[in-house]
Amino acid sequence: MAQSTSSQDMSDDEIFQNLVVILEEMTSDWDLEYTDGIRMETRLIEELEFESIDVVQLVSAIEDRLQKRGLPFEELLIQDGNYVDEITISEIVSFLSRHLV
Amino acid sequence: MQQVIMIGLDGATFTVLDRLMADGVMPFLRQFSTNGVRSKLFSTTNPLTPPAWISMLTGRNPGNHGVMDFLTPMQKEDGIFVKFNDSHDIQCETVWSIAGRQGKRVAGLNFYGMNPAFPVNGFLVSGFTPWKHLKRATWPPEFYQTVKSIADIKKLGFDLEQEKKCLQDNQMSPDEAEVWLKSHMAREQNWFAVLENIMQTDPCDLTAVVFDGVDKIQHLFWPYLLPELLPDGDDSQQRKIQNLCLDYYRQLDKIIAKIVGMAGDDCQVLITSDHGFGTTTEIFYLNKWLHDQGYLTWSNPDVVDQVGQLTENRISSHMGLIDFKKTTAFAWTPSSNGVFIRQAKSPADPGIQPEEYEAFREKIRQDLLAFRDPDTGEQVVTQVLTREEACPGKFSKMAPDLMLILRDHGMVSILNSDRSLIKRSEAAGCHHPEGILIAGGAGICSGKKIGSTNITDVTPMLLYGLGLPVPHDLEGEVPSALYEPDFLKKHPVVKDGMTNPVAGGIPVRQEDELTPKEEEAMLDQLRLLGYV
Repeated sequence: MAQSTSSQDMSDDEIFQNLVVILEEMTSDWDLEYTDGIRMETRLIEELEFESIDVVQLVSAIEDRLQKRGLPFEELLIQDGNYVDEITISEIVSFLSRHLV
Repeated sequence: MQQVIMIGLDGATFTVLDRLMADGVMPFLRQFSTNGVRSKLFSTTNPLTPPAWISMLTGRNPGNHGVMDFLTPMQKEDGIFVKFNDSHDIQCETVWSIAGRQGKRVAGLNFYGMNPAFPVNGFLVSGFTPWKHLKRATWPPEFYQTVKSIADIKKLGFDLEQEKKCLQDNQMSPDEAEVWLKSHMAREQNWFAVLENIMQTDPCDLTAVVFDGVDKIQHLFWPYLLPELLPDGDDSQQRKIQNLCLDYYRQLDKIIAKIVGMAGDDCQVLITSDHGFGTTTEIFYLNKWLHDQGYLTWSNPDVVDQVGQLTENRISSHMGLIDFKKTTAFAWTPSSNGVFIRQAKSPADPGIQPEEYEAFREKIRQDLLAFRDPDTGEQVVTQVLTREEACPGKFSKMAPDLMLILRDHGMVSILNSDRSLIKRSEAAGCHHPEGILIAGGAGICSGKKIGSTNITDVTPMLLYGLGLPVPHDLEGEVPSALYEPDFLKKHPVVKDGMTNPVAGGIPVRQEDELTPKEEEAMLDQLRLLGYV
């Protein structure tokens, strides 16, 4: 089980570092071709080859690690009534930064 | 007492198994059944994998354990957001935890809803999980490397795109069907390899595994298992698929034989299914019916199902079907088989005002019961239960406001159609409430058939088999007719204590606050497991 981290008063950089840990753990045996490491600009679908079910798992892993359940991820994942086609790490950081207060 | 083995066969029904046993396809199961006890095992009101397996593992109905479906619809002002259910959503203690905190070692493989895996006194590898996420679905975490070394994790995993085809009839070519059937044979072999490793290297008191290919094959190839449903003719492709289906069951029989052989004579073995299977010959378009009654507005009324589907191919497309701002009642998924009523949170909100809710719901219920097959005049929706009736308990509000039982036990379609009721071009398989229980081994009667048991009885049976007391708050019972009288006399069923408020390791929801006593009980459990 991944180490849990208190999410209160986290800076954007701390949120980012937590996401890096989650994503590196999650994708470690996915045989991905990217070599740049996880960056703020990293795109989940284009670069990390995420499918919709992977986004679901990521949401659950984030909530576990940050010990914060019920975050309104629909604000991040749905725009104009449709699921978004791409998400960047910086968008997730920004979303979490707004909702972890 | 002794060890207990549970072999779950997702969706297994005596309708098929009796034929296969009689025809020599499953000789071991025939022998095991003849030497043991068999019973119909009645599923949850909605006989569906998530509520049913969780009821089997908790001894509680969905209104208490809180898992109603694969997805939970979360109603928002301008629509619906999908939430996938996982282990966090199980609101009752599982048998893994009840047995584990009393010193019994447990192994649970390929059960729905165990992801993310949580601490147990033994091993847990969740089912219904894509291979890319099996690491998080495995407890203890280091066991994942063992799993990888003995099995092909890509074969253990769940392929969502393939599985969706189970709800979409006639979408697989014969060549695809062959590949698909063989992949399920390989899956079961890989799960067996993991189970075998545990039984040989670190045996547990309670060892349980689910083989889910049974359900999938019955969804896609039901007529091949009941040949009288196939069209007449000598079709070599038809025979090929039929033989591949039978090969799957032959292999499954050999796997069951190996597991029971490894278990030994002093072990109790339960073979169970989460629900049964039956034949569906029609499709009821529930949202079309709701539209015709004035409850639902389509986003695009021109999009009409032409091929007899129950749902869209993509889950995200569900949201686009309906104009939620102009809708008061809707069906969310085929599997939930129910009507959700949009309730207003304030007088200005769209939806039904609280004071109108009961009368509104009753009106839909009566109208559904009054709906008739236009060709025969027969009733189509045979029962409509309120959520309090279908899923009594603290979490009944998570169930559909109304739950439907159709005359053929089929699932509803949520798509638009020209008519509310159509005949299928070919008969298909659908879930049915009558599952199976076949039990054998130490203390269990021989050659006996008992009337019926309930899915919530399984956890009490497992605990009893382990020599543990049955907590008072379990809804199921130990069916005494299953056991030899002398065995029962020597090992009387003991009811004692209560379950803990959550399963081991699953965080308590934020809105829940533990009492000091509950906190202490949870700490005791974590201490016992070595985490505190």
